[in-house]
Amino acid sequence: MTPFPKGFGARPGKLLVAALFAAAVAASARAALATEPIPAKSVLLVHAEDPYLPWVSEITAGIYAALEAGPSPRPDVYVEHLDLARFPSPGHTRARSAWLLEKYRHQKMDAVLVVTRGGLDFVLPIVRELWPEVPIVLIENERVYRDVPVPEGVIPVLGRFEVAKTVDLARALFPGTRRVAFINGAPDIEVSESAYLRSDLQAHLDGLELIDLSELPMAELQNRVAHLPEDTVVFYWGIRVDGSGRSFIPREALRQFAPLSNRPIFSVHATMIGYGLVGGHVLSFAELGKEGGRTVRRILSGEPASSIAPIRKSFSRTVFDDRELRRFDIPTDRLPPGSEIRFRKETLWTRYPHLVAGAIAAFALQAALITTLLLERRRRGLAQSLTGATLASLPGQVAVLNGEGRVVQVNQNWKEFAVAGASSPAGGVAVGESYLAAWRKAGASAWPFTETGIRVVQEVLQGVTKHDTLEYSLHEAGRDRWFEMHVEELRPPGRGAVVVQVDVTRRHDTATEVRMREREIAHLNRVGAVGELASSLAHELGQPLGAILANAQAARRLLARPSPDLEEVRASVSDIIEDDQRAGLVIQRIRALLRGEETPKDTVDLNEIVRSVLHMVGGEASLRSASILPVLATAPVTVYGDRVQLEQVVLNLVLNGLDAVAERTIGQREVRVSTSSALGNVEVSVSDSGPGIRSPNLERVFEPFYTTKTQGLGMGLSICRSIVEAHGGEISVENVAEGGAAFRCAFPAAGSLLA
Amino acid sequence: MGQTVAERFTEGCPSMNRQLLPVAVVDDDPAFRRALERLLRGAGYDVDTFTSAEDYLARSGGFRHRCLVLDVFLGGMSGLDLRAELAQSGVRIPVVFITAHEDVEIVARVAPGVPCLRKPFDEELLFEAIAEVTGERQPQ
Repeated sequence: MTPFPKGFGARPGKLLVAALFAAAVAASARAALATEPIPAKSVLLVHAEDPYLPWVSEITAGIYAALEAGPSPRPDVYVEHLDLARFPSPGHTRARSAWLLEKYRHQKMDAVLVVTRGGLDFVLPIVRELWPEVPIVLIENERVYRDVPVPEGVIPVLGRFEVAKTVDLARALFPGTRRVAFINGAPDIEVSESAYLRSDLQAHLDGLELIDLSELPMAELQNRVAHLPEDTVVFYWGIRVDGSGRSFIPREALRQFAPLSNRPIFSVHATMIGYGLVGGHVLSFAELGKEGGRTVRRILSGEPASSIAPIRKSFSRTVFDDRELRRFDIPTDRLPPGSEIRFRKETLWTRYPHLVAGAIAAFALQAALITTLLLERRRRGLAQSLTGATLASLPGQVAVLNGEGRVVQVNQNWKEFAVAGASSPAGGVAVGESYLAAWRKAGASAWPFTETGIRVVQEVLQGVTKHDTLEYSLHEAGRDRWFEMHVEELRPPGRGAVVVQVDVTRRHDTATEVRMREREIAHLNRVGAVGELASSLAHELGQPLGAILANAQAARRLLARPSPDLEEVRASVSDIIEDDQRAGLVIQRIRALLRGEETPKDTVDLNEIVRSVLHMVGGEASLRSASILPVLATAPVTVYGDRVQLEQVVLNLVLNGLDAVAERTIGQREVRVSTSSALGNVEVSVSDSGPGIRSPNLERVFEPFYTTKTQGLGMGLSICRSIVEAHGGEISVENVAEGGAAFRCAFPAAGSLLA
Repeated sequence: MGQTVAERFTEGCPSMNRQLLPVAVVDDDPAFRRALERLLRGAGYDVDTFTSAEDYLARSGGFRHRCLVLDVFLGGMSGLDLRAELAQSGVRIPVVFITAHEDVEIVARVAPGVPCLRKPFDEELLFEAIAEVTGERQPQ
């Protein structure tokens, strides 16, 4: 709808006159205001409760909304939060009264608005003393004043908790209901209220069995609601304090047990919708507050208090939470008419029907247009001969596919190519046949490329991507042949695609060979490293083997005696077994390094890697009178990788360190191995007390064949670098201030995004 | 401390059982020590074991042993050093070196003529070596 009156554009002259007139009136009104200000009215708002309780703040919001609406200026509002629940002592009451009397002694007041009976009982004598004639509006729930008269001169605005209606609603939605579980907190200041409520509920049970879940500790409640009988509905009042004395905001308490409940939860508080309630006839505190505010406005506008009738209304609405309805399989058409459903998951269609319809129409129109253009283009005809010549000149196998993936045109190479005389994805598929079918046929015998190949072709055909490639192998005549497939879109999308296949077997074999050579070199490096350890290994094996032989010969001797000491023989044999295991461990640690194959990647603790390496080189270090100091992080330092390769890195670095310290005097030969982790990175570093690296460009040490040693190939650090980089890490070196070099390998921690 | 090691430890030497040949084994590997003790005892020797050169000097009981079966590479003072120290102090106890390292050549250079057995070694080699250095063959 247009916000302007009809004829806005038609008669500019008349409108201008009207505007000038309006401006003049406004100016004179402002002048009048400036000379004679209307004194603002004053309202005292008294809350008995904690202002942060959800229902209290909703009432306050409603009051303010009503006070700000309307033509008269907003009154000055003075707010008192008595917080009687938390400070109930008579001393506090007395002092508070005296303080309020003093505070407002000279303040004019036009109306007083009190929320709940506790507040009224407190302020009534004060108001009577300060402003005997001022009317008081009271906001409360109806049940509180059912059997008690509202004091003289107080206008009640009473809302209703629709307990009975909500129980009826629950029974209507769950026809088999036989029981109601009642959940409430431990009694606090709201004793009287929950007593009313329980009696209301009991009066309305009408044959239903009541399961009382009041005053339970939260943990027990969570357990109980998870195992309620099938024919139960739950009625939640509110938990401010649970059975164990813990305090809650009632709807937060609801949020803690509702997800565990196996039965639907109903209540009468609008503030709890969205926290796990299925729904209910819920009292809207905002509406109640608004009504209170409106009543105050009537007083301020001069209406005599005596003529304002008490207000007793429901202020409730029937509200449901769509998520909970779904959870308990309640179709929305079973809800009472006029129900409000919140948290609905709207589809694009329900939310923007016009937009979606428009988009579909536009899409259809576009498709029609494209079809027309294509037909037009086809009529004009392609330059067939030129295309044919181009295709023939290409070195690989080329096929043109139509939008459905059928072969439309091929070059000579494609025609001639056939693996074992049959058509295959790499070529030989005849014009008119489906290219995708050739892929599927090839995939019938567990060929690992089928799925990817079909996806690559289809995505280009469907316009998901303009270009894609795939490298795959076909087994032919006892060997693997490798092909690179390029699929290029024919524009516009949907028109088809061009497939080019190139035999890349030779390139592939070269790459494989390079990888194999790299592995072999890495392996040689490991064998070399173990070779460096040979003398200490001889020692580590010689000890247990020597002990085994001595024990075996001692046992033979013992057994040769006329009355052998079998106990001693048994001890010898036990020692033999133990020493054999000791020797076995030494061999096990070395075996993995000597073995050439790759081990599967896994989460590896760098601390363990370091420990394992230190076991290997411990003997070597003491032979060289050097000490190795492990400085390991207390927590595991995990990286995702190949244990053997990582051991190789640390072993290489430690052996380098031992070489570096050889020139120092005994007692100063020290290699430090440390691990640490920070900010998603883990690190292992090896530093030594040697002379440091004498090179203008430290990074050169990582280049292949760079060496400062008289023996050695200079491959160790180069291999270390490729292993570290293959693990997504970085290796660096620096000369430290105290002398010596420090090698640092940083990796993304296992489980981090970069790993 | 002007005293030599020998002067410090030859006082109060206890009387010994001469029936069996007293042999001391000095080795830092407990498993090997235990095995050798068992073997020598089974072959009729009177065996005492020590964990290090220092341990031997402290507890040898007046150098009563007729032969030292001595590991070359010990934590702390080495077997070679112990032999030299004893010789310097005038204590002449025949030595048989044993080792798990490649240091047989070093022994040959530092202590020429002293037998050195590479672990693992056969019992016969050990008994032969003891007999050779002590001149006494233990009845087995």
